[in-house]
Amino acid sequence: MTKITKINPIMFRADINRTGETTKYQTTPNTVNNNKASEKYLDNLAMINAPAVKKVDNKKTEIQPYKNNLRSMIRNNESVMLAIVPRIFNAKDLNGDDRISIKDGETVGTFLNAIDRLDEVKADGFNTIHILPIHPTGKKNAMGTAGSLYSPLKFVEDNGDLAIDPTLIDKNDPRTPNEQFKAFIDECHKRGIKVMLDLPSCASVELFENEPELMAFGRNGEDKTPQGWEDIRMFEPWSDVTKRTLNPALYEMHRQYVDACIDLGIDGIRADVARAKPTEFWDKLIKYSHTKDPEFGWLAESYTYECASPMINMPFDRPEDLLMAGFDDYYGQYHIFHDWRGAQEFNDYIKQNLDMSHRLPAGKSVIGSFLTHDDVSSMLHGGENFCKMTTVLQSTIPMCNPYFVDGFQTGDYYDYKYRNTVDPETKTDRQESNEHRWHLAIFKLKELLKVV
Amino acid sequence: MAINPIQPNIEQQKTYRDAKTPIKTGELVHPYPAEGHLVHDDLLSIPKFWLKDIAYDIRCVRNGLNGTAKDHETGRLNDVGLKLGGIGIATYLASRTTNPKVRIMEYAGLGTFLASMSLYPMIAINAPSRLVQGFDIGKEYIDDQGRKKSVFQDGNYIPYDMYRGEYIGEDLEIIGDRMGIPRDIKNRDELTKEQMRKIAIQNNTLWMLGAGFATPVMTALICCGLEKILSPAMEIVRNKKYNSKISNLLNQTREMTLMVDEIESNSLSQKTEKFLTAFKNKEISKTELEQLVNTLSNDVDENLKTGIKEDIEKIFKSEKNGFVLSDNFAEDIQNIIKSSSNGRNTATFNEVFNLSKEEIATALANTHSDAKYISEEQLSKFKDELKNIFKLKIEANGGNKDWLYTQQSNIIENITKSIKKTPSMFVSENGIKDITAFAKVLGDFKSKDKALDKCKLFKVEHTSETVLANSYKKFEDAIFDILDIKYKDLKLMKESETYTKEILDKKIQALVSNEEKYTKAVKKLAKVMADNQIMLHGESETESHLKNLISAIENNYNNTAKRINNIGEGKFSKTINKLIKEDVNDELKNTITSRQDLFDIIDGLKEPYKPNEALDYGAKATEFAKESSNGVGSSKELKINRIIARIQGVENGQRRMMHALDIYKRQIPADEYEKHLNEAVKDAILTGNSRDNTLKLRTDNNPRYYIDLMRNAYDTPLQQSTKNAMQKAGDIKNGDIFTRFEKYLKRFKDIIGNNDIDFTKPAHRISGAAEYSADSTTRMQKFNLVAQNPVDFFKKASKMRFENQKWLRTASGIGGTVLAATVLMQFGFGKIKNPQNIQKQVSDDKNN
Repeated sequence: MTKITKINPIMFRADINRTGETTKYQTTPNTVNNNKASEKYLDNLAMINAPAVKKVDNKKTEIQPYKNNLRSMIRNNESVMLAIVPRIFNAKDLNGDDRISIKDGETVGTFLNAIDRLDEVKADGFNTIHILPIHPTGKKNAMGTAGSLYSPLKFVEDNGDLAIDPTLIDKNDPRTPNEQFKAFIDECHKRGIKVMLDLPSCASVELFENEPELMAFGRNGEDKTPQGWEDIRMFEPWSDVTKRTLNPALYEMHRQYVDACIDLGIDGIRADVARAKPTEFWDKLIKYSHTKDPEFGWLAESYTYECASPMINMPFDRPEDLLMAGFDDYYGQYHIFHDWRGAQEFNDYIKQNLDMSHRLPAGKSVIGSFLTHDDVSSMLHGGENFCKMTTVLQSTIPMCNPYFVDGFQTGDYYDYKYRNTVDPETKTDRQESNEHRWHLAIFKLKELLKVV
Repeated sequence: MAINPIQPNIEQQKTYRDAKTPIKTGELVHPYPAEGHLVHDDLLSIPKFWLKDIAYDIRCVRNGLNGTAKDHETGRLNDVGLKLGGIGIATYLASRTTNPKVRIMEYAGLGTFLASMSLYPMIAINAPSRLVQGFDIGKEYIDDQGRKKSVFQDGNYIPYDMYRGEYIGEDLEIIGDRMGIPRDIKNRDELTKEQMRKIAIQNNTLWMLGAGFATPVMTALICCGLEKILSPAMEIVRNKKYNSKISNLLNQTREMTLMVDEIESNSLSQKTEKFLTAFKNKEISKTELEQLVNTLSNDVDENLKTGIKEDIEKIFKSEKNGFVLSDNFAEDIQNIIKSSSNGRNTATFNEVFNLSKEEIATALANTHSDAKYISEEQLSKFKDELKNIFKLKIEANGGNKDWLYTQQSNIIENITKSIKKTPSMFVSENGIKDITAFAKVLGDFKSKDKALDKCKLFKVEHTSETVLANSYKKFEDAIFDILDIKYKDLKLMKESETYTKEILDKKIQALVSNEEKYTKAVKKLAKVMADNQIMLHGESETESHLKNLISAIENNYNNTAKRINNIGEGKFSKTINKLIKEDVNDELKNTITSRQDLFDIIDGLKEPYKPNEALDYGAKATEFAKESSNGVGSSKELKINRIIARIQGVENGQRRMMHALDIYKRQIPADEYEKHLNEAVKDAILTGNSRDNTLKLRTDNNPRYYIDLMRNAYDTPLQQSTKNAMQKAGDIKNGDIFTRFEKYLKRFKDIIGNNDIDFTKPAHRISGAAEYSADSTTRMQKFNLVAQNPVDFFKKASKMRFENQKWLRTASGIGGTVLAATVLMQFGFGKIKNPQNIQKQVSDDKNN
């Protein structure tokens, strides 16, 4: 795999002082001496329970200064993104059947074992990771036996923490899910890799049933399913669309979500199907995020201007509106590059984006969406040469932050042997292993092709 | 080692579910207006958009063929294909007919069909929907890429945000009001949009279901109306064109040079020359002669063709003026002699009659024949030579001399027949020259004749959309209108002549009983007749386009005859004879010199020939015979007679109808006999036809009764109101309707109504005067004079009109029903499902 062109090292800004805050695992200098006795007690207790408990190194945690600058990177077209699915990022398929079978001793991807691949990611030249959704998945009407990543059971816990899929947690590690996630994020930051988390646009059927105040309903009480996506339901962003007032509960949930992300050190959010929520919603939310972290980046999954939406129950797509509302970059149309008949169409599209940029605040951009998780493997369009060509293109065209999907590096075709077979270890109400052929696995656990 | 610790957000103690107050968005970024816009065409801008659409279609085709078309362009190709295919089919159908109106209607039909596909939904669906529902279902928009689309074509892809309220019917609030949606309901716009979508789908469904009926019916109805506009307009335009053509042709035929060398060679002469050159100084066979004659006489009448054939044969035969001898002549003679034997006394026969080749050759040599040809005289000498040889042998033989001389006669006859079977048809250089010149003249004649035929066809021929056919139709329309014949009358009239006569009788009675109506009716009919005359002849007092046409035809024939004569006196005499049947050396003038002259000929009133009084009776008779037969039976005469006959038939039919009205207008006489005569005349006028030998209706061989009948019919003066109304129709410029009508009545009486004259006799006297009429009295002439009787006219016309009206009523009925149903359905569309939910929501919102 040809390495991505290295981007210049990032210059960190000065650390911000934090005082008077406590964490579970951090003690302040003022209380260290007073707790020596209790520490000793705890040490002994730990020693007695050694087999069951791992002693945690309670040494004073060194806090390294870290400053997010993802937004600036995006503005400068310096962000080189890799999209990953954590539950398969470092999964181990021992018997080569493409299926991850826990009972056969195979391992799924977790936050902690994902750290093992970060050096490889770094070496490949990536400086930003787009983490596909990490939330527990819905089981009803599920697509796939692991549940769709974009059908979340929950977004935030009652205490404001991010709701995290238990699959991603190492059961043998005593840290909480958020802490394990944080550890992964920290390791990314150590290597100069930014982290962007995927915010799903819709809810699972269970979430729809449990929290109706967030959900959209038809005139006669019917649910609103986006056409073709039977496992998810639309949120209701409006309190009254005619008066253009927003749904406070939905907005509040997203605000808490943003808080949780910033607290964890996440550098930005990739908004799935950004058009599912109106311009006003994003304007308010993104402005809020910038009050907490001015460099918090926002990537909109938005493709091209639509006069009307071709999808029932889903609003039309308006990239320019979203960029005006505060998004820093958007997906664009490079995913249909292979359909364009010549350089002229490609050129025209770049020009179209440049023209749009003149109408917007400075610094907006497109990602090199030649391959996303919704597209078939680039290998099918022209093999290694095609992959190399798109790599070079997105590294050189204006207004573009390069973007790749895990597996691209190794020429993965995303073809799965287990398609249409019964999965004995299903976690949902579906028995048959369902996956979109030639696409990144977001419904099932599998191992991607790795660098050997 | 943590980079930054997890920051628990102390603010977030309460759950998001507790947030209840709606968030205002007044200060926040709002969506941009839509990039596209709704189309706001008006009548003035429709042509501009129509042209733009065509340009876009062309681009779609180009891109499609290049393989670069986008999906909208590809979809558009369907429309393009429909239009192109339609034009192709219309062109093919138009090429299958020569009727110009039908040709244009093929394209008009296509255009109307395509227009109906847009018009019908506009009228029947969009307009009612706009009135009832408050918005236009057929609204179009231009999308962000400049493509025009229908807003509601796809119920799942409706650009609602283009409804910005800038124009009427585009404000969602007002549309919601029209739909009866309460103003205080939450998400009102969403419900409005939902209803709009629902109504659009319902209307689209309605259109899809109704299109199969509505479009063809609307097309047909529009085309019916279009024909009524197109026909007169086309007639005027074409008449102008053909009148101009006639003038040009008249000049061309006048200026035809009589010098054959000055005529340009044409394709016929070139073809002929090429054909004959291949046979130069050779014999031409019967088959090849036939081929040549067919080429020369292509597109001429049979009469002329026979003349051409005879002349060509004569030219070839006259070169050698004899018969062709085969190369094995002597052997052939021997074989003839052998075959002449009847099988009896063969030995004697052979001894006497078998000749050697040398004997035969000697006999032939003695005739001075060149052994290839033998003339008639030489043949005679050859026969004598053979007889001499046979005589010597017969005398020397001891057999039955009578029998032998009989055999000799038989042999000589067979030999003669055999030789005469192959007349010489030799193609000499002079022959080629003469026939090529002939072909040149004929080619020029045919090209002018063809052009004149087209003009003749347009003016008077027996097909639709000619001036004469249109005049017939216009008169028919006028009389039906005047008599106020209704649909139920047509239904009865088409069934039988009895019904027709009965209804006609009633209708005419009703018309004549009202003086004002009657005058108006006669004026209208007279005007129609006058207009027809103007179409035929033009508006000059002295000139007439029809006269010019006839003169041009005459010039063409006359000058062609002279030209042919100039090739060589007597060489093509048969052709000349068939062409004109006049002495080509005489001054060949035009028979019609003025408009009045033409009227007189059409009306059968041409001045009878006045012989030279200085001559004695015998000379007078000879001169009369010559004049009588001058031109009779020639191609020229046949052509011109056809024109006259066609016009007579139509005009006299119209006059007969006028006459019928006048007769009905008369006061019913007090005298019983006169009353009876009046009724009998009405009957005769309405139903008599030319099959009745002399219109002697139920006269029971009573000549006195017949004379009284004819007097009553044709000698009774016209009613004053008829006279007044007709006289206004016009002078000679306008066809001289009244005067010619009077002349018609007189002539009718003179020829039909006079017991001294039997119409079928070839030469008859008129009104007792000892003058000789030049009219030939054929059955056709009589038919043209008597013309079609009104009952027959009405019966035939009723059938066609009834079928037309029946069709129109059916189509209109279907169309009207579909239209009404479509409009009424609007009131059923857009019903809100579970309206109680809306009311409940309004109440809940109020309570909350």
